[in-house]
Amino acid sequence: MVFIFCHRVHREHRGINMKNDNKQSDFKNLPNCAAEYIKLVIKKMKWRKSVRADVQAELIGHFEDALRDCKNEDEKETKAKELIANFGDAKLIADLAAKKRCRPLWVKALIRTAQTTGIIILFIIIRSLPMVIGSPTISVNYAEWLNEKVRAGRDESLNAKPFYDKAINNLVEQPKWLQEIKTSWPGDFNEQQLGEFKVWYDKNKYSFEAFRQGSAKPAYWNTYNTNEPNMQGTLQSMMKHLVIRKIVQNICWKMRYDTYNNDYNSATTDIIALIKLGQNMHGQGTLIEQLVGIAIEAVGIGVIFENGGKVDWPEEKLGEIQTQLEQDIDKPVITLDGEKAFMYDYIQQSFTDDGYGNGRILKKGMPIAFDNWREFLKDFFITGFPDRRQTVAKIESLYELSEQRFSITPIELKDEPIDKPLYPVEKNPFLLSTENSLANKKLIEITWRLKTDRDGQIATLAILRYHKQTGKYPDSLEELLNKGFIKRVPFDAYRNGEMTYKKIGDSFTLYSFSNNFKDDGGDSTLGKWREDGDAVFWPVKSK
Amino acid sequence: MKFERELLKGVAPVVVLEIMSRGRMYGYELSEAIENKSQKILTLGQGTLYPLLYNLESQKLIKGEWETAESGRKRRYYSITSKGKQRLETDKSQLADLFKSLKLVFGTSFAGAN
Repeated sequence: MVFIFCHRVHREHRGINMKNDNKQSDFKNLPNCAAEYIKLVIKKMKWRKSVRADVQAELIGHFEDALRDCKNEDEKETKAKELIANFGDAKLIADLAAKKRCRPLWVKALIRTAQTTGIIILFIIIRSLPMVIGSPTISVNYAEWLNEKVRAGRDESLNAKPFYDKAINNLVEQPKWLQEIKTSWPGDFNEQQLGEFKVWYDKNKYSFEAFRQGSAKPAYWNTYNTNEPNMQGTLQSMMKHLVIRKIVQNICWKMRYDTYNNDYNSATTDIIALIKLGQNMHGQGTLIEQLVGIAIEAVGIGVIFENGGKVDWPEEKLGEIQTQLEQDIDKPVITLDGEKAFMYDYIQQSFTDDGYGNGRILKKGMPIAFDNWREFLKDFFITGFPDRRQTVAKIESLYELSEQRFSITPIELKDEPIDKPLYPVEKNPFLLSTENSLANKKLIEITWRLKTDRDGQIATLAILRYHKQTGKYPDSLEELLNKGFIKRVPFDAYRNGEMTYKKIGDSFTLYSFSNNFKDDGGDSTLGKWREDGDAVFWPVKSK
Repeated sequence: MKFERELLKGVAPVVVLEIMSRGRMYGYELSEAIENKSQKILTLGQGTLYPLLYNLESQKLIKGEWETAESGRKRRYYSITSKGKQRLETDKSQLADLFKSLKLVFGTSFAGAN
């Protein structure tokens, strides 16, 4: 029976992978049947390697001790077989030994998982506690800070704002047909429309007057509400002031009507007022106000020649408009003071204050301290959160980078995707993703479009004045510069060079390469700032 | 004389703890000791010995430690723990009560009566 068992053990063992737990040298003092039996027990155990090794060593030791006094190999073999018979079934002993020796692997894994989870939860609680304990110290009113920035030490009597407010209060909305009409020339109105227009025009008399009075002031700035609990509230309450756009729309129609009636004095005053308002709005305050300012200046520039074929401006008036356009020509179109006020206020509200300019992050600070989830997790579990000083430094470097980028021309950004962020920041909930758009390609292009429009329009006005004085058009833009009609040669940011001027018979063309960065021949019928074609300043596209 | 397996099963842990309370031992030594002390009346089957040791160890009644002898052979020595000693006392006391009650039942014919 024992022989049969030994034989079976031997047969089963042929399938055992010897690399597992046993080295042949461990069994050198044992008869084959004992070695095979032990190996079979170990194979049947199917438990942890270390446990199997322990049991194997113990069984080898047991057999060696039991066979120690045997005089020869035959005796050893016989005694070994007796021992094997005494041990019994290999699987049974393997199960019994292993069950008592260690917990099943899945139980161990479960316990370890529970322990690890517990440790992680505890770690998260400990790590999160500082974020919910403590409160911010509000020491700076950033609405006041921004008010000081836009006021720039100027006296309140210089501000056009009260007059513009009055103009808004006295504003009468355009009749619906006027809002929807395709033409921009009152000469195209029918008799009934002209009658209604005159009524509307007269009703806006006080609004127009107030706007004129405001335009006589040298500056315009908004006063931000300092009573809101944070800058977010301040910016929201500021939005209602943007209704000034409606004044602009009304002034445009007034200017057209005055031109139609050959009242160039009045029309010129209004154009200059529009350009001035736009110029005063950008370069200060919040970004949204500045964008509105850019739009207003662009409208002011646009209305000069929108009916160019029908209007013959006196040279003197062209000069006055040109002079206004040349005002503050090198002033930055966009400043980020309003955004900074918002962000500094956000930092103030989302960090503690240690009294020395530093502090630790609170829950609210998460969106500005991190750019993405990976960074957040790394800081949470490994390096710790950035403090107030580090976050301020990061925000300031972002603004510095943004401001630098405004000098990059569209052609230099040609290959950059339109919505490429300044640096890789994920979208919500990270607030920096919003701030990231400050100096993206789109915003940079808007500022360059305005600058190019200005340069093109200044040069056009100068060329027309040159023609009125000399009876001919200049041969080149340099000639215009040399004879003092312009202060500098107009710059085309879409080719990084001089704007394209061509004298053609008794006319001329002036254009920028525009969005496709190539010379399309200056076709004025396409319209300005399309993706194809050039931005043509002259001749003017007739509506 | 060999005991019925079931009869021995309940006593085996007490026997092992008792032997071990006199000094630490490795597996083979323990099986020999039990046989010798009981004059070969009690024999713990080899297949029972190690599962029993591992069981006692998992209950922390004994503890095993590997040691390398001068010959280079590694042996796992088992020694009784303080918890094991307490259990031994309890089990011995219960066995004494068992013998008393058996004596009452069997009277003078019970060998343990002498």
